[in-house]
Amino acid sequence: MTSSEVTSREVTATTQVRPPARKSVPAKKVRRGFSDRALGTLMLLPALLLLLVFAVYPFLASVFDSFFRIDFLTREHTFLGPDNYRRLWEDPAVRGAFGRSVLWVAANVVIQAVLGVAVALLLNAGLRGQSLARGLVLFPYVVPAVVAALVFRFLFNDTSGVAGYALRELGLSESLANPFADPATVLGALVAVNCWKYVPFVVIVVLARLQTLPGELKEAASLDGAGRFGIFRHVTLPWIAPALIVAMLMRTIWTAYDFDLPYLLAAGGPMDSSTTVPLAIRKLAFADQDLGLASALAVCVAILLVAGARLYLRAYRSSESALS
Amino acid sequence: MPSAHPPRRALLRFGAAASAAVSGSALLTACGSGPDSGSGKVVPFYTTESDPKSLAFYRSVIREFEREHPGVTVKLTLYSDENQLQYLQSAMQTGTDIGVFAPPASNILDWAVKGYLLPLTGMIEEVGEDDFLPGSRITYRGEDYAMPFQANASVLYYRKDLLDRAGIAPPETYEQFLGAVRELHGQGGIDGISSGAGNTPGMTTQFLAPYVYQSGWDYYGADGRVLFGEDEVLDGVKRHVAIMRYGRKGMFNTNYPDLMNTYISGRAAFATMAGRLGVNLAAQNPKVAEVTGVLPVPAGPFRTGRLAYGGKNQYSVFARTAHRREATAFLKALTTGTNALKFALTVPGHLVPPLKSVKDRLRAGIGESDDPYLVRHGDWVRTILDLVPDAMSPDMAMGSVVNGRYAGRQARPCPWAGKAWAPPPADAVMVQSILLRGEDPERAWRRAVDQLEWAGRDWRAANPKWRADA
Amino acid sequence: MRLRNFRRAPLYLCLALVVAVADLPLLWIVLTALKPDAEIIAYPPSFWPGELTFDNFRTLFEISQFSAYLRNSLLVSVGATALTVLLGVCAAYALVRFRIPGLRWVGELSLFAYLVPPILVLVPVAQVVARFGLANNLGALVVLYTATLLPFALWTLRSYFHGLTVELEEAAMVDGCTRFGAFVRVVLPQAVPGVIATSVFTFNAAWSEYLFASTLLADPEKFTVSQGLSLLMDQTSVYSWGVLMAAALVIVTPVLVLFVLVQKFLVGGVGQGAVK
Repeated sequence: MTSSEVTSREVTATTQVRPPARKSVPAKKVRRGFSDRALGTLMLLPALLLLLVFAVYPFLASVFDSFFRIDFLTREHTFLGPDNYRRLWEDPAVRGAFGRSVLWVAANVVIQAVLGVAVALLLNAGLRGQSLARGLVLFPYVVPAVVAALVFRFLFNDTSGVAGYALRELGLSESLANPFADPATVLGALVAVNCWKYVPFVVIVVLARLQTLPGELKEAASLDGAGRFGIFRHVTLPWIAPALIVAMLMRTIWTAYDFDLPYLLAAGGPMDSSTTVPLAIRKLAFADQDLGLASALAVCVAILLVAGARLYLRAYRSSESALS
Repeated sequence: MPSAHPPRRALLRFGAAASAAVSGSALLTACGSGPDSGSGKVVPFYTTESDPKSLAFYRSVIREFEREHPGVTVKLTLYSDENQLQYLQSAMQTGTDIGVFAPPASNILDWAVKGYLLPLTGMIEEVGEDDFLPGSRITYRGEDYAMPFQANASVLYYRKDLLDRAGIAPPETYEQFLGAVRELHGQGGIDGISSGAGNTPGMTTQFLAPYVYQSGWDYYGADGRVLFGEDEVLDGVKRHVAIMRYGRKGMFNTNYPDLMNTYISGRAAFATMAGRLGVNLAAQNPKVAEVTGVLPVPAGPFRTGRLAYGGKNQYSVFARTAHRREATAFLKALTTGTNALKFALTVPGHLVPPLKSVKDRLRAGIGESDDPYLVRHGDWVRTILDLVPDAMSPDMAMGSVVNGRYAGRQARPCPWAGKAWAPPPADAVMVQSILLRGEDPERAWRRAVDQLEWAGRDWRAANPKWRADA
Repeated sequence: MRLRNFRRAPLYLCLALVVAVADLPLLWIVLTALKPDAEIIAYPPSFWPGELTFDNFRTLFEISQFSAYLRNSLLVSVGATALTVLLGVCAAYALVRFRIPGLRWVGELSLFAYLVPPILVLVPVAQVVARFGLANNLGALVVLYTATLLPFALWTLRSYFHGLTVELEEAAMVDGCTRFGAFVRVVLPQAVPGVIATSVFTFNAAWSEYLFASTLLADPEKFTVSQGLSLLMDQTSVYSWGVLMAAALVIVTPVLVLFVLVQKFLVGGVGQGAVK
């Protein structure tokens, strides 16, 4: 795992920016319980154990499986070498799914970050009814994917769907009546529903971070004659940046593997126009019963995500050091 | 429930439980017996039939069976239809005993060939081989691998009132059908047809298959050769698409409930669907039910209306189940005799018994039954029952219709059906790309033919020992 | 003052728009759940129910075991949240404050949890769970959800702990606290917004989870709400939008209530004082 070594080195650098607290406290005055080392280990251990069993093990198992053909019942492994990877490369369906996934992730993350910050600022502007509005705006986030899919299907089904009806009454094109059935609109519609559900996630993170923004910073900036945009650009944005970047990193990974909403709303169709990588993986693993090939695809995506995560971590590091 | 305790203790409890379970199961494995030997035998029963009426039926059969077989308990497990493949496969991989279960039709032969399923030949012989409707058993190399418990047939529901008002007779030929759909489409916001395409396994096939059969061909031949590429099939595809143009666009990537709701809410003049639509219609919109009639689907020149799409469902017994004899006995009790009839009556006309004796009892009882649905709509159910023997699906009855010849429905599951109909299925993509992208039908059809070819070739390459049961 | 409000009119307009987009679908759930079937399938659709009915809810609880599903989901979600927050807080603090060689990569390691799609992890995880004899056990879901949600908790909390100044902590230690004591008495109170955000997230994710629950739980008595809803959709004979929307409302209400209760803490700025 060279890439994770690199990331850990980067983050080591991050933490070194801030001198560790221990050194600045005169040792003799401190009442010691556990030694720091023992306490730290103790605090980390349970989390570490869980991660090993449920994250590292499945990941390594996937990497291993990706070099084999596997019988589902007997789990008999037949070694194939890099064959699965070659087959992936040659499969036009997989390449198509890959392209759609890139589009899907980019659109979702960008829109969610921009709208998330905008809405958070709006909800932090001190408008009347602000706390009520905060609650109302964040609601979609707690709607489970199964329910969200159900509701949007209902709103946009073209038998009794009220949204389809409204759009048709307004004279908009017929295909808008059920955007999930049209290859031209389906991906856009899925992004829209996904953003409906997940913009509030970014809003929550950013709002919570905004609460800790020291008032003096803003005051100092306005004393320096900064306008509203200037304050945002030089005070607010840098302050929320670390939280926002972590939120975006999480959203990137989750969106890349988001299965429920796309599946429940369009099942990858019509044709394959909304088949993203996780749907392709499901098909390979369960419909085609080819666990090895599915694992190979997952490993490829994981490698890309590690690369993506590095970029985010780098941004995170610089945003943190910019603050201190 | 560990979650009811403080979390740290929950974790400890989890750890303790885990280690106990590990050592426990190690011991059991060492003894070489199932986890329930000693105190009573457990027969796991897995089903996706979550309909309250069906569940009540299952529970009563289980009670009765347990009374008659002391020491045996049947454990009912529900799983969702939507993710049945991943559910069953995960269960198999973790060594879960799935006992009596319903393998997805498209995987059944593949699993039989691979040895996941227990041969049921003895039980089928006890029931009487002649009692099965032709083509309803699933055999491979002389052994039966499944006990069918449901057959059905897809029929054409039509609005008598709308036809009467337009002065059109109920259609008996494809041309009349197309004319009626065209005529009624768009009148008062009503669609000509509620029929669709989508990634739900088998859904597009349900609507397309009658057009293929009534062109005198099938998807695959008995030996697995692709017949979908014959010229007459292309004509069938064109006929199907011509009808579909009189539906709404939303139907081209849809699911069964949406299709049914369109007809039930009175928004379509025609709908092709199995018996379920009738039952739901009568329950949810009796007014439309009163003016609805049921016909076979006239989809082409060959045996017009007399070849239909029909799905079927069957139970198999997991090859590695702990108590084979008890599992088989339970399966028999569940799917034969009076129980089979009771089950069929939980959704009349949708759950058609695949045993002739039971089906005849059902048909004979329609006139005398006091079931309100059968009293009002017994004629629908009769139409469906009469069509069932000639209702089939290309993934289960390969080579039933070949070059304008039909000698009864064949029991010949397609071993690579799982691949051929994996989402997005070749036929669905074909229909969707013609209707939604305006692709040339011939090009779309050729691509589908290729995809059906590849699916078979891949599977045969991986299973060179397979020979078609001829 | 009036001028100020006037200038802010566009902001209010934006706010109204955002609220409408966010909540109209939810309003539609409520309205549909209260309509009789005939009105739901009527065309053109009506907005307000012409006739209010609770039949859909009655049917829902008659034909399904939704009260059991709710109880199960509550158990799993509370358990997973408590465990995640406890482990997350400890681990995040340790990562931020201690320099222990070899352990710092735990933070990055945790990202692994997300690098394999759940759909694929399904089989190995099901095997691990089965090996521990915990198939069909709600406790297994608690542990599994904790494992999958922990990385997020770790990262969020870490960024909170980073944002906190060390002076108070040091002062407490000078005053005679152990480091752990300082952590509990000084650090934790400051991290409340982060802890609450993490809890809300965790609870909600556990409440909504479908894939693992539907694979690991087999006994209908143990189903969670998402599974229950999916099962209800399978029962095609009752595919009634009214009943489904009633179910949707029943599923969403508990999380919404929790959210409303907690939201004041979440964005109310608890813990700000201590930082200043």
